[in-house]
Amino acid sequence: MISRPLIGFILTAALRDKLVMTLMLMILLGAGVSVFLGSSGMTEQESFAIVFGAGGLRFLGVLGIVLFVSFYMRRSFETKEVEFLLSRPISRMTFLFSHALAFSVIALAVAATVVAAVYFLGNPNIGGLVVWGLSIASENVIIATTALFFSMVLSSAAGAALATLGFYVLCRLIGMLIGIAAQPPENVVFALLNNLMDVISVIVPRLDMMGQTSWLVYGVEGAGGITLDEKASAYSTALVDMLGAPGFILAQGAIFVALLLAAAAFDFVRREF
Amino acid sequence: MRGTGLRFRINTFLALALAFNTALWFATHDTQARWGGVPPVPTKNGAKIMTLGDEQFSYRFGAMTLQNLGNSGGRVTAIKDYDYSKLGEWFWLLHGLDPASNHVPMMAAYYFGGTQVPEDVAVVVKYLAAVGQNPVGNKWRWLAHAVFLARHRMESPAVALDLAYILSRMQPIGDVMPAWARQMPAFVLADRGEKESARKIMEEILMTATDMHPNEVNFMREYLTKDLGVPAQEVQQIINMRGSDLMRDPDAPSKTLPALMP
Repeated sequence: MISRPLIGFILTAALRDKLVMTLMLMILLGAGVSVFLGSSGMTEQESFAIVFGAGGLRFLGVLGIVLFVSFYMRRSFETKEVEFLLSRPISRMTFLFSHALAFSVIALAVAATVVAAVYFLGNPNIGGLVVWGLSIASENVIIATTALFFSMVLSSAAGAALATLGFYVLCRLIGMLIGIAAQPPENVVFALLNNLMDVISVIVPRLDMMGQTSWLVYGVEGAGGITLDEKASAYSTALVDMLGAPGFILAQGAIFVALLLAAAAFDFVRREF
Repeated sequence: MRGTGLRFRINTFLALALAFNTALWFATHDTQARWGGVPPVPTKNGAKIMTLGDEQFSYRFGAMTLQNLGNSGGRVTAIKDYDYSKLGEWFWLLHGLDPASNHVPMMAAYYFGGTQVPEDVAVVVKYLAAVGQNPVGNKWRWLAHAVFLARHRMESPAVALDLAYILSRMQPIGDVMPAWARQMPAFVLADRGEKESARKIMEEILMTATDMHPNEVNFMREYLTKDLGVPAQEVQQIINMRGSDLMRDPDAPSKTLPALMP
């Protein structure tokens, strides 16, 4: 199901695309800006630098991955590279899973660079940094797979990139949106919208519960970890208790990547070239 | 149109565009945007949405905004020109986003607390008094600062005394509150002219507090005799009752003093 030469080909393409060099430069620049912003604080300057750096580089990393995956995939379709590869002894599933794995490797490399930059920004809580790094790695893999899905389904690179970024924003805000939807509705329309939001949230990963910069300042436990409100069901409580923050992060990443790959495969096997 | 004619027209157009740009620069380069005052306070959800749901990032962003409020882009705003009711709402919003950080309490105490308008100081005092009652993370210091502001800037000894009693009863977790914080009600009472009440408090502390540094005992002796007019013999009797406690090693770690009753 995996083609090593194809993965090597995609990783080489990423290097030739100057993606790595550009991202490294942007991460260095972002880290410098966050140190500058942090140093202007009246107190807790290190915390400011870490939080601004971590929050900014997290988004920068996602942006780089989305742009690379979307434009690489659409260019492959437009230059008939996909058709050429599929004319070789590579099945459609091998093509899809190899791409997903290669993009995941790039996503993990970006996450590792961001975590290293945050480590050197100040003196983050080490336990918090480990869990934060794990969640950023998981988030990057989810977003890389989402970009792969959208760029295979949509015919425009810009459209795929925007759709993925829109989805990313929705994932980061979904916790607040379902919190608002849980409020008693004022009328029937609001009640329907609340239910619609609940249905949408089924296929939206909870990125709001991941990568909290407060973990870097106070540690995961010090910042409250993953907290459940008083309305949480026994099922939610048992699941979070059993998995803990790292387990939840990994489980969510694995489950959602599997869903996206299944959806992309569903579309890809029916496509005619 | 080709060759020289086209190039001449392009060059002329470029020179004109540059001239207009320079003329515009003369009109705008010394113009600053007018400060619209303290901006309206978003809800907690609104503040989190602005930073894609990251609460700590939202806190740091808001704290930096508050720090530079009215003082950016070469502009300086006098403290009297701030709307303190809105500032108070900003304090509470940011406190809700991160109750552990000391950045906003520090700005409130040392910068915004510099106002000479008692009503404005009251906003700061109310905020610091609430923050200071958190038993963890050395927060009692902000309560002590609230007492100071209430007593000297807000000119409200009654508020200062209430806060001083709360401070004296605090039992910080993981921190030792110094004797002067326990003695705060006595200082406020003496300031109000209620020297007899102040004396009772100081004497009670002197008699009951254990593990007190000798320097603290000496300070209390001086305060009782010189500021509160207690005869030196009476103070000495109380000190004698403390006995061996004064002989302890001053460098040994001390425990938190017992809470006072008003």
